[in-house]
Amino acid sequence: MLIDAIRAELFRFSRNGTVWLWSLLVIPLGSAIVGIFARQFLMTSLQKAAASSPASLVIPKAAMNLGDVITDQTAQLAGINLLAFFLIAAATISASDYRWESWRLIRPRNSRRNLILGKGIAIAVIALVPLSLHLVCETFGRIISASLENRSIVIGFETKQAGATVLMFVVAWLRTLQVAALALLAGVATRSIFGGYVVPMAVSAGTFLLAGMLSGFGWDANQWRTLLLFPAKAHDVLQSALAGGPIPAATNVKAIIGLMFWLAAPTALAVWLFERQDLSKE
Amino acid sequence: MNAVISIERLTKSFGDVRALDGLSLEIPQGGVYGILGPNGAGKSTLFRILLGLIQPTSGHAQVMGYPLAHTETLRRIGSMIETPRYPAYLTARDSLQWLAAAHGQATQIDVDHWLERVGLKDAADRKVRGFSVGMMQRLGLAASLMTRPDLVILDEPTSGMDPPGIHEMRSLIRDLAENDGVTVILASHQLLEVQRICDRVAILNRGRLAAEGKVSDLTEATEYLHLEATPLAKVKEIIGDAAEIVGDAILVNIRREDTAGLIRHLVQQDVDVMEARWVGGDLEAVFMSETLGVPEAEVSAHVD
Repeated sequence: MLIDAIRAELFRFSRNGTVWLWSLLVIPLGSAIVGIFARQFLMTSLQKAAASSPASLVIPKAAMNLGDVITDQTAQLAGINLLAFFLIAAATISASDYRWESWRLIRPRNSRRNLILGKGIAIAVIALVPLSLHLVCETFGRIISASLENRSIVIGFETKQAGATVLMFVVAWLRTLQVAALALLAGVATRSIFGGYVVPMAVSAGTFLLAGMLSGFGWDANQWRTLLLFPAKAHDVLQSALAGGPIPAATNVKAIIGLMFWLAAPTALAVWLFERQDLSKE
Repeated sequence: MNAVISIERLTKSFGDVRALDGLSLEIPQGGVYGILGPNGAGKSTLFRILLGLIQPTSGHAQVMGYPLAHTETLRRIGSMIETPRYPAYLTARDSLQWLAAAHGQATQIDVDHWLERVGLKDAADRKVRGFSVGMMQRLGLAASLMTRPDLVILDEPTSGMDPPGIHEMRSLIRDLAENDGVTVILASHQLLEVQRICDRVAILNRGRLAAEGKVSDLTEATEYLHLEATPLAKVKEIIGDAAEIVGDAILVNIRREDTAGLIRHLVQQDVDVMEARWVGGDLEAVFMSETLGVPEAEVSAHVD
């Protein structure tokens, strides 16, 4: 059953401490700590500059709205740093049975389709860890910074804003899975963890550069071709729309289809390929 | 014969290399069945096809009455193909728990019982990265047996094991076949071990079936009477085609019950018989004959 394949992948991944550290923990914890120090450094520099100024400059200390902080952070969750490090986990799960020659141990215990889909779903579940942790750590980082700056903290979170924030989180999750789906396909196709990591990175970098180049030739973010070819654009469009940007509803639909296409197509291709693959030389 | 595996004209090619070349074979249910053959004979390829790891180029096979790679059939097979490898960060217990989860029996299987059964109780919480080949083999055996399969496929199960380990493995395999009713198919280069524990064997050579049958039937055909007598030429003349001179002795292909009569006849014909003994009668002679094309008589001459 599919649930058995998922359970097995999650169990095995739970024991892989090195990948947990580098793939899921380093970016959320590291960026929060760096953020605190950076904000503190900036504030100290501004205060020194204000103190040495002949005019009596006062740095305003506006209250920090925790709701706005959470919404802002959620919109930026699927950043390049988090994706790059999460790909370590995605590639490891996708191709570790080639690495350890363990298909011969696990293959007779479940169907090929279940085994490969089990990997995909396990990756989807695990992706929630760095996204959630990143959000929590960044929020705590902002609270710590506000405390150090003696700024007051208010909690303002309207229902509409909360709904938009949840959807932003879902969009960030889909963007993460879309990159992970490329890792799954590349891991199966190349039979290596390295391939599962490098190929989605190259595709992401390539599409980013291409999108920048083509925008000068009339490829704007409202067009089908742009949203279907560049999933990062589709993600950005959806996050902008959820943040209240003036994005037409039709464009949002195109963006959702574009993002889902890049999630479904590599996954389906990985399943198709794996069901026909010889596992004699893992 | 109630066959657990029926193979019909099975072929598997890797590029220009034919690992299996139209192999047809029926493996009966119950007992221990040996698959022998030199390196490259197609043993591991056959096992990998039976376990759904690779697909045949052509031909058919049925396992327990179902077509190849049928998921429910595969789940009833326990297997160990060559020395198993596990992710290095897992402990022995984790490794079995991981596979039990994949099998859908995460809670039903008592992995500690199986670790104890294969002699790894004290190493249960050690990471497998420090395991010797023999320990990996033991862990692989536990993984293949813990789901209580109906059919067990073992490829070189005693590879890398020490003599006590080999003895334990042999006992365990016979025990599975005799007391648990499990059909065991094993491939091994250790012919003496195969002769001791297998009921039937198939010898593969270059992807084809070279010989198949009960171990006792196959080995009986390779027994020769080794005679040291003078003059050898006269012995050859008396016995005819059933005798072959090898070095300073003569090998005679007769039935055991005719031995006394033959020697009596030779003595009556003024032949001096210095020594008479039976040689061959083992799988090595059969194996060499079937795979290397060495005449059985020559093989037997080197067996003593």
